[in-house]
Amino acid sequence: MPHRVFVSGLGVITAIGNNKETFWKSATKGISGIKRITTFDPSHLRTQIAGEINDFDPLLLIDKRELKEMDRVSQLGIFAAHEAINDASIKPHEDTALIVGTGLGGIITDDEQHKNFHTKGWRFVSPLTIPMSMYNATECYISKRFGIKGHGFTITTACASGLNAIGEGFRLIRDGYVDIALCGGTDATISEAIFTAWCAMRILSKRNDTPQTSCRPFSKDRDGMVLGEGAGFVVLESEHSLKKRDAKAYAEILGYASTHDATHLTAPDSKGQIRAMQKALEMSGIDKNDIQYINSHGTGTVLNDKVETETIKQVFGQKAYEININAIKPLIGHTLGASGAIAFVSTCLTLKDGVIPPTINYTELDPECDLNYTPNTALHKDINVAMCNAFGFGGNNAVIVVKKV
Amino acid sequence: MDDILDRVKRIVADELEVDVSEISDDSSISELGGDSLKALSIISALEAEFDITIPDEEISHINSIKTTVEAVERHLRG
Repeated sequence: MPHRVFVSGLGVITAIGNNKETFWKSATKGISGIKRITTFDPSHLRTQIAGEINDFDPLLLIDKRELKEMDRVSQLGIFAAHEAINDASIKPHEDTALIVGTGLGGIITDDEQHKNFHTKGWRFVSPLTIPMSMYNATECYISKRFGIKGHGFTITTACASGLNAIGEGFRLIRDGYVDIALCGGTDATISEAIFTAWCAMRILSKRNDTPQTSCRPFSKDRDGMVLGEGAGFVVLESEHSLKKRDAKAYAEILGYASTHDATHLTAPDSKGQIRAMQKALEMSGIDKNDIQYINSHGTGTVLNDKVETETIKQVFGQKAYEININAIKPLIGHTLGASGAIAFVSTCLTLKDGVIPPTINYTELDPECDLNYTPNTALHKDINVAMCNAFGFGGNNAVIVVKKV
Repeated sequence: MDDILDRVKRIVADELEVDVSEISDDSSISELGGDSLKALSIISALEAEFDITIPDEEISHINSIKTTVEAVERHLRG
């Protein structure tokens, strides 16, 4: 008999807020955090904008000595994890599980040290390069800080990483392996060489003069995604654990699925996404017609939004037109391995408060994207069951079905 | 012209791991085994080789040796 799994704590750090309150306030007002890049001079690049977190002081939680040996990806992860644990009021113990998703790990450190090697010479390469940039560094820092000693691993499935991490935590509790799991995603990739590589892929918006209206998911005039940085974490708990400590939950996870497209390194494929949605619905045991809201992957690239729309129509048929859909990436940028986890935090807040943040910057109907994307204005509506999507380069798809409690 | 054609063929051959002798003036990138990602790599290599900038709008038209050479010539002139 599967165990019921509840979400009892949320934590988030993004370009529109360093905690869930400020994030939620900006998200529901449709305020975008996309600005001209400040980390380096982007003047020579096609795209010069991103969702940077500018007012972040890592010293609030991390001491100076530790900070010197910690990539920004881990700093952001610690902040979101800290908030989720405090929000749930749990004290992690030896058997608490920890699952972290990250798309690119400590790539800012990688970038800096490569630069040192090529410009200054081999003597200037830091001995901390490997431990700071390895993908599981964030997992190590979080486990050390909060004394989490149970089951754990780091997942890297590009932009699906964070949602995969939450889904795998759900399965651990559902199948009775653990009672509590801290799960989420983090990515910080805005450094010069890496950003240049994103520009070379020609999938970023070039609306440099109007950053806040640059990313336009599902709108006909969309011209690409905008990169962001951030982290989102959740505390998942079994019903037994929740009742034992008489705690409240935001939502209950009903189903999760993960699939591969097995087609292309970067181009999404509807068939893989359809299978992920159908399997998540099947596990949840609900009728697909019960889904009222989808927090979409919605990147703002021509292909992603068209394929995701096609997928939703294939899965839900005519009912797809009644579902409220939104995309939060125009607000915070595409935070890669964190994006699915942040979207999941946002979905839980929608279930709790009955507000769907708007898909901002929607200007023109695209005949190939003709569903209800909650354009430009937040929707106040009581949502009972929602779906959250995250689709990654590599053809990794993650879908979670979650219910209000 | 021939110099540009030869350099374009060499870049395409390198990126698609085919022999230059297999590439004719009329070959299309897809016939040679290229996809959208390979096409991007070819365009990046062309930009570096000829010190030119090819705008996004032109990418979809650069689908054969002939159209690639034409694009390079246009940008070298312009």
